[in-house]
Amino acid sequence: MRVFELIGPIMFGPSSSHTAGACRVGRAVWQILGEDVREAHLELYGSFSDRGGRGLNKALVAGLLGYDTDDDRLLRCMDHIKEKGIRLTWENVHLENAHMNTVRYTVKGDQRQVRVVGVSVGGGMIEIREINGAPVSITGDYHTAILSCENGQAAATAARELLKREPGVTVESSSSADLKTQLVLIKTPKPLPDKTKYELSRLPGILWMTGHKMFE
Amino acid sequence: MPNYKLISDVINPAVERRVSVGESVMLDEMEESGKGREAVFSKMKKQLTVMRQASIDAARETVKGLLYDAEAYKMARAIREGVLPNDLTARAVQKAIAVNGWNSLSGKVVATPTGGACGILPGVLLAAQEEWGYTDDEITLCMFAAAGMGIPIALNGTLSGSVGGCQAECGSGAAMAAAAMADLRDGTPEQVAHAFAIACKASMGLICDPLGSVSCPCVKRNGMYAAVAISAAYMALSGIKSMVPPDEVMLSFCEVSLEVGKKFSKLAGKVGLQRTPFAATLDPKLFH
Repeated sequence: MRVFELIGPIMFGPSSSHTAGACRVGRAVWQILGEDVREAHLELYGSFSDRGGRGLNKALVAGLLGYDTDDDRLLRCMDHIKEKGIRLTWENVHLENAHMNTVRYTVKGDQRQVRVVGVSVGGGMIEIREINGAPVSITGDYHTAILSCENGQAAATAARELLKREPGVTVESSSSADLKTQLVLIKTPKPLPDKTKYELSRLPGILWMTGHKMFE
Repeated sequence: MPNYKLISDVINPAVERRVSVGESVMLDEMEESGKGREAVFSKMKKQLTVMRQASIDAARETVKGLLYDAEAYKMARAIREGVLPNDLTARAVQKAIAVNGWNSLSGKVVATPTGGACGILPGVLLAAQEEWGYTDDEITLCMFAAAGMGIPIALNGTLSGSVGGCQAECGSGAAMAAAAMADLRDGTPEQVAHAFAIACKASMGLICDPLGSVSCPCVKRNGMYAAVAISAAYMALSGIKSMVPPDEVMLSFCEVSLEVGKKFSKLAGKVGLQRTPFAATLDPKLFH
């Protein structure tokens, strides 16, 4: 927990959880996809639900365009979605035992698709809790590199070996219940050098590599 | 780097270093982030600029919305015309209303610690700046005290109104602002802790019951909690201490906030003011 989480972010009102946090969740999804979003389906739960046709909380969408919480383009993001021809759909869902402010995104780019569950925990802070069915915890308090692999445990071991001289590194693995998704998450206080990222992406069994940047 | 789990974790390093709480928290942030003084300080100072701009933009006569009716303008006019005294509290309340009013209209603000409470700290500090002539740098430094002191609440309780009631947002905001004001006025770290604890006591059980989205009664609550923060700081700066030690107050505050938030959860239906006949006249689509 850091001082700029208590005073910050700079945001558009009215709600740090429903505007700033929502925008940050969407932006995390955009980063994790790693390419331009062509289609997005949003499943909304709890106080993110769309009640009575008021229209989707645009902050949930702004981040998919890469907008940050204080980006002046945020207020017109629905126009920008239309201009770019991005297909957007949403529905209210019930999610068992989920946080009050939860959204599940299924986003498609030209090359790949990801399904991400994100939560806006309050004060503009977020947590990404699931990627393609694998439970994770990404809060933006650190840089996160995400490797999708054939065998998470093996990849984690190889990653730890590769990174043994990097300070402050945490390596975690996670998989979906059906084991179809296997992820390795590498959390660091500073961004990994490009050379290291390249070496990670070249480890055996790595399918693709993405990440989430620490909030400044 | 201490993780600020308790108030003591924020205060003790300031005592050991023999600096203000704001300076101590900033030093901790520099260490944690690996960034220099200039980078850390200017980031906070930029946020002060956003707060000030919001307090100005919102106070124009034409600023109105569905549940906001130029309140900041009305109060500024009342101060100008001598209906209200032109004193610290009146100006702090007016500025808190302005900034939170701006938030309710989707204006640009700083989450302090949330959107719902974003007027309280700016209200207190901008008014204090006018009252005593502090520089932007001096105000910026005490903002670090506010931020640091809020961390134990985030770690032990919640900052989200949906989870912990308005206590979690305005209650936290007021406690943070009280700490900042005590720090600004050269209070000892111990006095900063007592200002924080005294302010916490003013919101035990405060529920989150907004009509529409963060407008009513949020804007006026921000105004009132700016006055709470000032009152708590006044007491602490006088040497008055919270009878219950600050850490115990903070933990109790967090416990109550979570209990009350659960009991009055919006998932269970309408809460407080949302149940009034007036609320029933509003477009149901306004409600979260």
